[in-house]
Amino acid sequence: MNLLADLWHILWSVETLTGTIRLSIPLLLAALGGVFSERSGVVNIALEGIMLNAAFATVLATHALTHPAVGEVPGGPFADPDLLVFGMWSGVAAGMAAGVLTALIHAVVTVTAKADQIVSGVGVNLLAIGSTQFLCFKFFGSTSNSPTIPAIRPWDLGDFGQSFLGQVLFGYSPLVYLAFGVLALAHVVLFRTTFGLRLQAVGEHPRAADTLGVSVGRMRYAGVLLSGALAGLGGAYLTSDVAQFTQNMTAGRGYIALAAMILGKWTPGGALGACLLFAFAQKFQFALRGAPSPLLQSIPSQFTDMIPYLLTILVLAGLVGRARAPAALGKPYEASEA
Amino acid sequence: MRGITKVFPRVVANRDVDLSVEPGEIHALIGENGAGKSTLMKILYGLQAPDAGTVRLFGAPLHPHTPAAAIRAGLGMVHQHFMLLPPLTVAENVVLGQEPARLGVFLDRDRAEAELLALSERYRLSVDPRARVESLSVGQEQRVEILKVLYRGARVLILDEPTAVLTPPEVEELYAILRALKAEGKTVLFISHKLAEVMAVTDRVTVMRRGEVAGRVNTRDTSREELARLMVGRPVLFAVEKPPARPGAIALRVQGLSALGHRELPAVRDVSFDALAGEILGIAGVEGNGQTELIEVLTGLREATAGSVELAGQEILRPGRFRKTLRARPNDLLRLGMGHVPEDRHKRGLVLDYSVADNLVLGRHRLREFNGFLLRRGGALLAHARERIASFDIRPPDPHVPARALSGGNQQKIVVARELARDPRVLLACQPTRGVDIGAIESIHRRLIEERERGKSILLVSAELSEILSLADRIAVMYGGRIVGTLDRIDANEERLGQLMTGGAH
Amino acid sequence: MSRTLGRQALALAGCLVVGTLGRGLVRLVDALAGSPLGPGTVGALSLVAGFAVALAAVRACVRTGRYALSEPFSAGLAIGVGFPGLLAVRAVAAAAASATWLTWLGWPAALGIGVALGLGCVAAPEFVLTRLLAPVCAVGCAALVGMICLALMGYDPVAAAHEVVHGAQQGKWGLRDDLGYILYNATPLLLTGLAVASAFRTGLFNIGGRGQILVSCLACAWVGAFPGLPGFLHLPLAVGSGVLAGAAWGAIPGLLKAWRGAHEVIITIMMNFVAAALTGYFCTYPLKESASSLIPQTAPISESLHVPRLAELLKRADIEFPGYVQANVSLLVALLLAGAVYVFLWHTRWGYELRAVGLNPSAAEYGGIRVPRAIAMAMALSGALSGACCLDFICGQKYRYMHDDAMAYSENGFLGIAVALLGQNHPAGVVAAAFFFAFLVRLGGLVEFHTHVPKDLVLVLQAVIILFLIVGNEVFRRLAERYRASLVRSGRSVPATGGSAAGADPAPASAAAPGGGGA
Repeated sequence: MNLLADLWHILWSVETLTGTIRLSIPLLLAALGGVFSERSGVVNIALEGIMLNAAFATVLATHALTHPAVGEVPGGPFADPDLLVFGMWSGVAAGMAAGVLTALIHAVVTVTAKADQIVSGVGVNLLAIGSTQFLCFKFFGSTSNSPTIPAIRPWDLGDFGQSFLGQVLFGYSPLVYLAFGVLALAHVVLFRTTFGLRLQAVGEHPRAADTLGVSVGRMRYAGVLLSGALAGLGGAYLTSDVAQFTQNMTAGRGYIALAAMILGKWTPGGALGACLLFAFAQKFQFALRGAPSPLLQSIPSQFTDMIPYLLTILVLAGLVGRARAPAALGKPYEASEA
Repeated sequence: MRGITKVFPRVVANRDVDLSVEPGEIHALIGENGAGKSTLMKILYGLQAPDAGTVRLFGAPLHPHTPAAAIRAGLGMVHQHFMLLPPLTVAENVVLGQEPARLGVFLDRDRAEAELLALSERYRLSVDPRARVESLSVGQEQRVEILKVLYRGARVLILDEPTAVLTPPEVEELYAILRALKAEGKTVLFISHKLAEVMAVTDRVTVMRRGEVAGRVNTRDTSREELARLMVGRPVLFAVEKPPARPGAIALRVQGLSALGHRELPAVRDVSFDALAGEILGIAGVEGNGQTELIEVLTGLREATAGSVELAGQEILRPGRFRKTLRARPNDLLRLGMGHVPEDRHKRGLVLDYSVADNLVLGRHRLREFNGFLLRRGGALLAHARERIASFDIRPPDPHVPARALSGGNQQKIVVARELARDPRVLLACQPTRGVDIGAIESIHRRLIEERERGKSILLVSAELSEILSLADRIAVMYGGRIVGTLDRIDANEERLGQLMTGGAH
Repeated sequence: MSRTLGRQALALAGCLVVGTLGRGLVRLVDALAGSPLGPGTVGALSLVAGFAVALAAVRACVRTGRYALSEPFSAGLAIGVGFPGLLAVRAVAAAAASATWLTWLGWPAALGIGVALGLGCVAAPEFVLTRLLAPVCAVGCAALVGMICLALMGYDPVAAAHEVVHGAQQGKWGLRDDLGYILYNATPLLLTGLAVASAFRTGLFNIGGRGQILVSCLACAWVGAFPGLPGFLHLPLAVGSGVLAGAAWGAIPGLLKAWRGAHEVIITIMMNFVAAALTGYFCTYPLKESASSLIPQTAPISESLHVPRLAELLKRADIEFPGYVQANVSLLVALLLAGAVYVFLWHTRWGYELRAVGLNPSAAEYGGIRVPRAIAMAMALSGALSGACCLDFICGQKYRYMHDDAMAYSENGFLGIAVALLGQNHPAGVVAAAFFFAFLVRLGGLVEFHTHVPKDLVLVLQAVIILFLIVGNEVFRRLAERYRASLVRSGRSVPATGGSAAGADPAPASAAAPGGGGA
């Protein structure tokens, strides 16, 4: 019973709950990006690279804009708080822009040149790893990490902010609330707007869409670029969490996001569920390290690491639930073929 | 449309085609498979650009040459293969591309459904706007397609082979719909290769043959025979000279065979027949009545749910490993002698990027004569290819050329040459002359009769009645997955077969 | 016959003219090099111009239909491709003014490239167009990007090249040292490139090289550490179990694809992460060398399993070679495997079946080939080839499984995709591409050593090659289609691509949509 009590305690600790939310946000944003891209019929393995480039761009822009405010001492007193806030949010915007630019490469290669979407994604990811390290060296003099940047902080709510409810509900960076806003918006855009209908049409049956005058290329560009903006936001969030850029800092999150999107059956709501599940598995593992019971402590972290991947494999193999991908996913559209 | 020319790699699909359609008429565009009808319609609809010529709609040139412009000009197309999105609802499918919106961005489902209901009442096309398309029958899907076109305010409707997938009652309903459309002042362009339909429902007919216009007539002033003559370009079906059949023992016995088809629906229902050595058994029927699935079961490409198939007295259907289904094994077929000329040579019959020599052994590539202990015997493969190429006059006579580079007729000759090289007891020939030039047709027909004379049993599946009537000794007609009648050639004529093929004999 | 001869003579003459022209142009470049632009910039600009001319020439030929006449076309192509090639080699040669071997090599090499391409254009225009042009252009573009990156870092690209080449010849071992590292890097690239290419020929995309390498290395190290087995038995047993583990890891996605329709790309990606976690677990807990150690690594394998390094072999042939270079016998094994894969795919009945499945699964099924089994087999074969890396990594380099090093080494599984792409999924091409990428990696190291440009530049170049390659493949495929159409229009018959059953095989259509688990 002691064991169960320990587990219960860990489960409901502020640490686990808030940690789960924090860890899920970058996954969620990237997975939403994946939903838009894949609903339009373009496989987006490039999510990983998009996030990485966005993370670097965020750090670069924030550093450049807040540097005078911070002064020469990192983390020193800020001369101008307004300038600081402006710099941090500009960094987020820069991250999204970098995400869109990276996605643009993927779109040009896969939609315009109609090349293989998976290979393109692999190429973009490789490019992101190389270019971020290269540029990190160019601007910060080290390939492995950047100087720290100021992070966007949660709102100050006084005593209420320290209470259980306060921490669980309001203890996050404003980016977290932005992410949930984006989630709702994504659902509405996908299922309640004409744009969403056309996007789905292009991913299901591009020829049908084409014959009705919907431009397949334009919709797919929209899907891929939107995914760039969303995954870019996810990348920006990553840097605001650790307050610096480190080499290959996405560490496979793009792929986990892809897995979450599949597990969530290509819907925003489903993606949220899957991201929360994956984030919880990860956070729970951390929490177990500090558990009082030695049995709980001894569970190797590698097993919880595997959960997202194993679940995705099982789902794709049809052993757990059934996932139905957009019918034209991965197929370049040839307008002139019969 | 004036002077339309369209060239594809290796084919001239349309050569200097003129087509004009008057407002308010039902105009048929007919021609055999590969006559260029579909290409012409794609050009008209803006899906493909012509290499020469102009398209004018209600006097105005189509510009830019896109489907969007064609839709704006009042053109609507119901494609042969439906352009529907199965997971979406009927209403969503209909409004896609011209959605009613609230605040400019939000899809207004209520208005979409209301407009759809109004349309469907006006033209008596009843459908449930909220149903998902994946749950509809084929006839209902076609109605959705017509509604899509009407929703866009089309004044001219193009229907590409609309009856190919319909049951006879659905065809009758379609006729009623077409007449209702005409009464509302719409123009209908009706593409078909079935003469009975053309005679039944159209006002004027344009006949295409090998990419060119072969004639234009008023339906009232013409006859089936005249249209057939225009389509085929010969006064009558060319008669193949053949001695009377000398049927022998039973080569293939099919009993109580059933199988599922597309969408897991029954496609073959309790089919039984015997094919005798030394005769050609024709299987006639409108396409999509179970012939394809029947042949796939016989060749081990599809599982049967019940029944038995005996080839040379031996049962070839064996229970599957996991499911309660029956399947023929390729090894048994090879050993007992079954050859198969598939209906779609590009999809099934050939690996287009393989050389002619490699294609000539597909299915027999494991045989001793072509393989050493580890390596394939290149010399034997080439010798075999050279012999086949010479015997079937395949051109160019080069075993190294990829099959892709050959003309349709020569590709089909590869398939026939390969299947006859098996020296099969039973040959299943499916649409053996589809999309093949006249010279190759004659050579393939001659081959089939020669094989019959050598005591082979040939199962000829063809959608072309003319081909069945000129080759077959007995004719079985399939309708709705069943064999609805078997006739001796002497008792068969087009009318009698036509009745059976449309289920009229029930 | 005489007509063909005449054409070839014409092409040869064209190449000579081009060569002379090229020399003049290079002179011009040299003269311009004195201008304020600097030699590097001029070289880069000439490269851009050369590629632009090449593309414009090919496009114009196709547009006007003149492409159908292969003589002017091939001349145009020779100019287009030979010219930038010439310039590139010349630029390197100029940079290596003191490196005599490069100077005398530069000219004939450039001419050779031009002549070979010109002849190729006449003999097999489609082969050049669909198979050769894209890799050449992609590498050219990567060179350009590399130069731009160097310039971004404030270096004159040519000057940097000069320094690198100059520096490479110093030290005790000089160029042999570089050669050694290239051979060392090439081994895993070759194996993983073969793995990706062989799966691709069956229409499958094996992204799972990483996971396959990891499990195979762990299995090999585990079996290799069994005590008391005789050496002649132990080595094949250990390597065999590694290869089997790789094959099994590859076969899982293959089986899931064959029988459940799960898309192999996503599955193999997920399997990579599972393998990383699983091997991490094994070498941290059950197979850890000693409980007190903090490093996740297994016990060392027995000495009888150490395979000889190339230096040891060369010493027997009285060739001095740096002994610290870890290139070993497994390179020769990998080369043999490349030959074996070629023979298997193109000259055995099983290869015939696998390629048929890749090109047209429906026709393969019709031909009595069991498609699901072929898919599972192909993935297992691919996994086995990746798994063969354990011979190099465990028996040739580390002599035990070290998790962090193995994770870094398994990156080769990803790079294998680039190698297979650049090699156009043909074993011969894969061999060339593997050495090229290995050269690139070494070059990156040298550049980092001599300038202050991080070697991550190489990753960028590899990515650029991948992206330009797939775009180039599509572009040139379309051009080839129009070329065929232009032949039809001009009333000439379609030329046979010649009897090369091997090289002229087009790539199989890419497999169906990923994530199509339940569709």
